[in-house]
Amino acid sequence: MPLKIWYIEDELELCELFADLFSSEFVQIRTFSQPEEALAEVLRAPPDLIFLDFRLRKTTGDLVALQLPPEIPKYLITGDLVVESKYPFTAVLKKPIEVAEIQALLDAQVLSKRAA
Amino acid sequence: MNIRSLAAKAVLRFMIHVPSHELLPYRVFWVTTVLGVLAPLIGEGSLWVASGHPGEAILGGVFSSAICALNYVWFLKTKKLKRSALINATVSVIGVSIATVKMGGFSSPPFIFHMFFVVSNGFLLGARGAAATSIYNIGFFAFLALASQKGWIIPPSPASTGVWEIAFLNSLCSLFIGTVICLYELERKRSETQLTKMNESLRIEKKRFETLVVGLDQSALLSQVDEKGHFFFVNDKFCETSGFTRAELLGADFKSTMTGLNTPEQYRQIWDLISQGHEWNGELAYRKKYGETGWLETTVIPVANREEGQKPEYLFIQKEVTEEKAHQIKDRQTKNFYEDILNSMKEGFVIQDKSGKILHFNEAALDILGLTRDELMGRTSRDPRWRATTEAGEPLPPEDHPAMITLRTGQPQSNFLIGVDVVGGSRSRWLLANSVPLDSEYEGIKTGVLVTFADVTDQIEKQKKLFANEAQLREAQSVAQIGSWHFDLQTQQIRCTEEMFNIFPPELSQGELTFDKLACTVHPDDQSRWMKAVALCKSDGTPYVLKRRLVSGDKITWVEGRGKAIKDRNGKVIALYGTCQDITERMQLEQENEFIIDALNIGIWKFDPVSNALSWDKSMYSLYGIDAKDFRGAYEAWENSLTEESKTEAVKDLQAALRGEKEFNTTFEIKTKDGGTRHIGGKGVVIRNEKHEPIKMFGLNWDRSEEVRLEQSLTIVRAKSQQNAKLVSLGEMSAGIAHEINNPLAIISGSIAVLEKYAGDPEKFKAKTEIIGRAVDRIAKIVNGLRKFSRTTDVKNYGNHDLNRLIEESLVLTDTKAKRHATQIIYELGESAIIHCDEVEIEQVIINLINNGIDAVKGNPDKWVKIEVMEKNTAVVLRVTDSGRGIPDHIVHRLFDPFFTTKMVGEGTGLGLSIVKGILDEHKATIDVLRGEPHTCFEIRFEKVVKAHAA
Repeated sequence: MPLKIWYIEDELELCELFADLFSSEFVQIRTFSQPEEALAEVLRAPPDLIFLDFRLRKTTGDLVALQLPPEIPKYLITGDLVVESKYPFTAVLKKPIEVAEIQALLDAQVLSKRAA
Repeated sequence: MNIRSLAAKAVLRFMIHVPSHELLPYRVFWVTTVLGVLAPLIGEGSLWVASGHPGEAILGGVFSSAICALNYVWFLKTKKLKRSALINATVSVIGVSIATVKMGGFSSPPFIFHMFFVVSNGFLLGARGAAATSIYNIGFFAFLALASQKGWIIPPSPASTGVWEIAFLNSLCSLFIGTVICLYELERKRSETQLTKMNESLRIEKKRFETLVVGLDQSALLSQVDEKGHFFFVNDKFCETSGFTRAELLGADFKSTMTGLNTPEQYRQIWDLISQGHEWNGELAYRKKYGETGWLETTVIPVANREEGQKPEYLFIQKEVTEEKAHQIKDRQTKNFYEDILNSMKEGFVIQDKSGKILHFNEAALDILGLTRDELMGRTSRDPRWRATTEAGEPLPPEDHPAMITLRTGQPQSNFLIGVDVVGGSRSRWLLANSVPLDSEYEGIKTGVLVTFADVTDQIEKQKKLFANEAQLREAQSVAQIGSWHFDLQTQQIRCTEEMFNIFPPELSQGELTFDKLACTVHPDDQSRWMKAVALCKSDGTPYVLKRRLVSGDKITWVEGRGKAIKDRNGKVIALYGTCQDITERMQLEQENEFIIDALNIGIWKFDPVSNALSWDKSMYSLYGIDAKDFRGAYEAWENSLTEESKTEAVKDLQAALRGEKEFNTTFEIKTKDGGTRHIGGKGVVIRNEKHEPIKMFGLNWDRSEEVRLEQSLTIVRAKSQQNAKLVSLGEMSAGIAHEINNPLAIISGSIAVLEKYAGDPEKFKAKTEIIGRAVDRIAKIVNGLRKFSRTTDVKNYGNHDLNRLIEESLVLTDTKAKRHATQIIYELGESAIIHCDEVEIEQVIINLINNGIDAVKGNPDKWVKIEVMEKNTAVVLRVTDSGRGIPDHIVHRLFDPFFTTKMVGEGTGLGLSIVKGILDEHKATIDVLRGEPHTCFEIRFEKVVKAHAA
């Protein structure tokens, strides 16, 4: 069963790139440009891991994260130099993203899931 | 008058109207009348009945009744009742006696009948009738006796009926005769009486007429003319008066003989009138024989009776009235003369009768009272329409009008001031009236009053104004503490107004004020100066204005005295007059001002542009660092003290002020004695003549060196503040800017990462490269926005810019912050609105206002900032509104103060809005907080650039 990854990002081009870069037979990428859609979907089919952009159109990534199930690991991706987050993310990743870094993170998660 | 009415009248008199003392004769009359009617009826009737002849008896009764009626008529005509009754009785006795003899004794019926008849006839016919009847009876019976003797007739037996016929016939005849005689007598007597009366009247009339004719002949000019107007009679008086002889006049035509002032036409008209049978009365002017003219009061009477075919004649009765006419003309001329005088008088003139009614007046009265003739004529002093008032303004009762007082008391009234507000008249007037009783008849008015009045309204108004002015002057003198005085050099008397004694020391109020007493109160230091000025004024009239001190104990009063001389015809000074003002307070203030000015180091200068003279007070010397003795008192002295750098500008400002182009309010730099410079502030006012030419200029100078230094420091601080503000803005933006750049960078890097993946798919490859290109543009745009903030030079770069473009560019830099604070920016691109500005500074303004808006709505559930651009008349209006609830009124006025902030410590510098204001001031734009709006709204107004300029 592939690893289910969500990416909540208001810029569609970044969503598209993210899916292009990291989709594989082991990783299933789903992107949300509207955080409300993700919140509605999360209980029905919760992902294994969530990436969130900080500056969303009407809210911020940390506020969205607070509403998501706490057991799901969450990573913040931001272009800001400094972020004062209200949520304890697993890690904060900087834009422009390091493709290898995220790929490594995903690989590790895939392995971890398989091991489980 | 008929019988019936007479009878009715008699009955009424008897029954109703007869007075008691006249009652007896009437009763006697009526008794006898009744007897006269009833006796024949009863006597003859019974006789005739007895004899078998009732018809005759009835005839006799009617006859007897007719007799009674006739008797009654007669009685009413003559009214001689008593006399008639006496004579009747006498005649009756005679008649009875004869009847007794002739008819066979007292007991015979004919006798009885006849007795009754005679008695009644006596009553009926009166004295003459009875006498005539008796005579007739004597004759008749004598005839019967003679005829019996001769056998001509057979004497009737007393028992035979023939006797009765004879007796009846006898009675009838005697009655007829008596009646005729009686009526004749009555008529004759009446005619005689009338004739006598007429004769007497005629005699009197004749005598009167004779007197009249004689008198007329002696006093009047009598003449008669025939139908052609020719004289055929003239009396002596006529000849005497006219100077013509009778021979000259007789036969002459009256129409041409004595024509004088009257025209032939007038004579013709008179002739036409009298020739138609009318009388004519009038005055005729005539010419005497020797040319002298006169006036005749003339009556012309047509004397011939035309109906009887007589030839017309005309009687002229004339009276010489030349003298009266002359008097009349003279009187009229005199009257006209006086009327002309009255009408030419400026004073009003009215004559009122004893009831106060106005019956005569002159033109001036109408003019003064503002009434028409009809309105004034007949009006009385009691007329409520006068509305008279006293001098004090109280209503003046009609009985207290001067005319009414004079009418009531007979005493003249003089100089009576009365206010008249005529209802229906055109004006309210003050009248000075005099009234005197009429001492002689005037135009038919025997008792009355003559009132003259002058319109003194102007004088009263002037007087009131004068009093008011005097009161004001006194008040003003009192307020200004100015007194006035008059010094008579001949009498050495000094007269002062009350205020003078308030100014003078109190001891001068005691006793008569003399020059020596006055001199004693003058301060010793001022005494000689004052006395010298007074002496000079006394000797040659030189006026003086002098400040001096008056001393009273420890108190010193400063006064400013002014004196002038009054000279006689020869130029000799006879008196001095002047004013004296208490200027103690002013002097104290002046001294205080001097101290203040000295302390402030403010100099006062005066410049005469005509003579080029410049005068300074002592502060000016210290301000310019020049010794008073070195100051040459000319404009050049000032100009030379200026530094070369400021000379051109300062001189230009002064000249512009003198030309009236602008106020003199400038700052210039002067050279000081020690080789340094000093900044001087200068202000001045220009005094101009009626031609608007400058004649004087006054002003102040003060040291602005410190102020200029502070201004310069402030400018530097302000520039630094602006730069700091820019940095603050940049700091605020930097976080967002990093995000804005990193996002496209992420797109670029990500796209590059997948490019390799799509190397074999040209379409997808191209799509990725396009994504990269757009991301690069995004970064370039942000960097371009930052470039403007990187400018460090103070040089402004003004140009015409579209405000919409500036807003769009600003939004790039505020978008991040808006997103971060989840604040919606509402802005719709409008039509181009060109303004003249430094685009960087205006973008800074816009960014500041948007950022302020975003900060202001942080805690609001509904967060937005709206930007609008609109054109209003000649302005381009920019409005930045946020969803906040507005700014409290008490801090609105402080919003643009430097360092004023409502943000928490550390959140704002308090410089944002003050910098905004500073930038907009430099752009001659305004910024206001709109009041009455539900949200916070800043409105900026730029001057609109017309399209031609924009191009």
